[in-house]
Amino acid sequence: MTDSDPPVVLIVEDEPAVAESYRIWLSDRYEVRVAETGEQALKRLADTDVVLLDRMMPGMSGDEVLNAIRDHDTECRVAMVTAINPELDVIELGFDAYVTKPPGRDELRSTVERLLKRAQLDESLQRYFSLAARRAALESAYPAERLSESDEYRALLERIDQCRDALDESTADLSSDSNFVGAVREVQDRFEDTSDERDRED
Amino acid sequence: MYRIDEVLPNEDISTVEAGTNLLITGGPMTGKRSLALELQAAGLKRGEAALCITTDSSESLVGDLPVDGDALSEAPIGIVDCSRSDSGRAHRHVPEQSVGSPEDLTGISMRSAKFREYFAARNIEAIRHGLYSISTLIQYLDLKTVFKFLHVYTSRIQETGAFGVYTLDDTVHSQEAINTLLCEFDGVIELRESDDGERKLRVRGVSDSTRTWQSY
Repeated sequence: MTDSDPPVVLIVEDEPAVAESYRIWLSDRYEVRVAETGEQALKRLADTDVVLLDRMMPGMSGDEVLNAIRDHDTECRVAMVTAINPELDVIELGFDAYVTKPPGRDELRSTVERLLKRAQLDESLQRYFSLAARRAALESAYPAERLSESDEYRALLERIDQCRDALDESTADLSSDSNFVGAVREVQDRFEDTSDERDRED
Repeated sequence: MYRIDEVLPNEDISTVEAGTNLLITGGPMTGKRSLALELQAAGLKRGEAALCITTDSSESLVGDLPVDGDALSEAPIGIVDCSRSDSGRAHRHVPEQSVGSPEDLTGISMRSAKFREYFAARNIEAIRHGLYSISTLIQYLDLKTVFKFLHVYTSRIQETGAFGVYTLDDTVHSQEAINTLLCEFDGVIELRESDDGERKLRVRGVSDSTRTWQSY
């Protein structure tokens, strides 16, 4: 995804009329693709940012499609669209979010928006860590009196504040279980990706 | 607001605001975990819940909880054991969930969310969380990943109006690493043992804290 291209949303839904209404709700902001089965979905996965996955489909079930998506090594976030509503169970299955069926326009749009923001979370945390580490290094190297006179140090503190605000933006409401677990999953995924890279380098 | 007046020697610090995250640092055997468990247990008699995440066996953790046997069966306590030991449950009346390894941060967050639901079903909204220990998490993961995880976890504590205590052995990490982690917390309780074997404690960052070392 580049800045100029709209994010890609893949709707996986076996009822064409339902898929069409989702498409209408989302197409002003996103590039929307539709797949009627899990098998089709896996073929259309390239460049997808967010998948809206119906849980109950003929053929491959939503859970199976999710596992196949995870095996694909793609970066997309997956929301389950489901008639049942056991939030934590859905999250335990590995979905990033869930939407109760039938979703309204606003709910669908805010879910997609939330997942797109979450995709930025690890990067913001990474930036925040670098700034905090830089501050800690300065504080270990220089006495407080000297730092308080330093423009560089003051600028750093300002950047840390800004970064914190940006982070609050992308973590959304962490009192929600799915946002909380989803945010931790982003952190862990990044750790695993980088340790895989380390292993390959060894 | 969480009452902690009977725990710290400094009587000025009798409460912490909902959403507070406190780091407890000190060398080995300075009583970090005992102090943190006391801070958690102080809520039990007020009907608050205690949720402990432990990278050591849950058995030793429950053994250190300053709650006697009978009270233990009734108290709203939840344990998330990520110690890799399969010794089974520490106490047959204390609900426990295990996570395969301290590396499984997602699993830890899920179990933590489950316990919050479990307490909510018993009409308990006030939860004191304890994480034992940050040092072990860093051993299994790395400083950066643990820093990020703590950012999410402490924000969760803040947004759910809970209270969190976390232990860190400050003799195994560089001062820079400790200072980096510090910005995720509202305050820090430092523990040390003086040359004559007396335990000392200092609180920083919490309102009215004195910054001087006190015996405890």
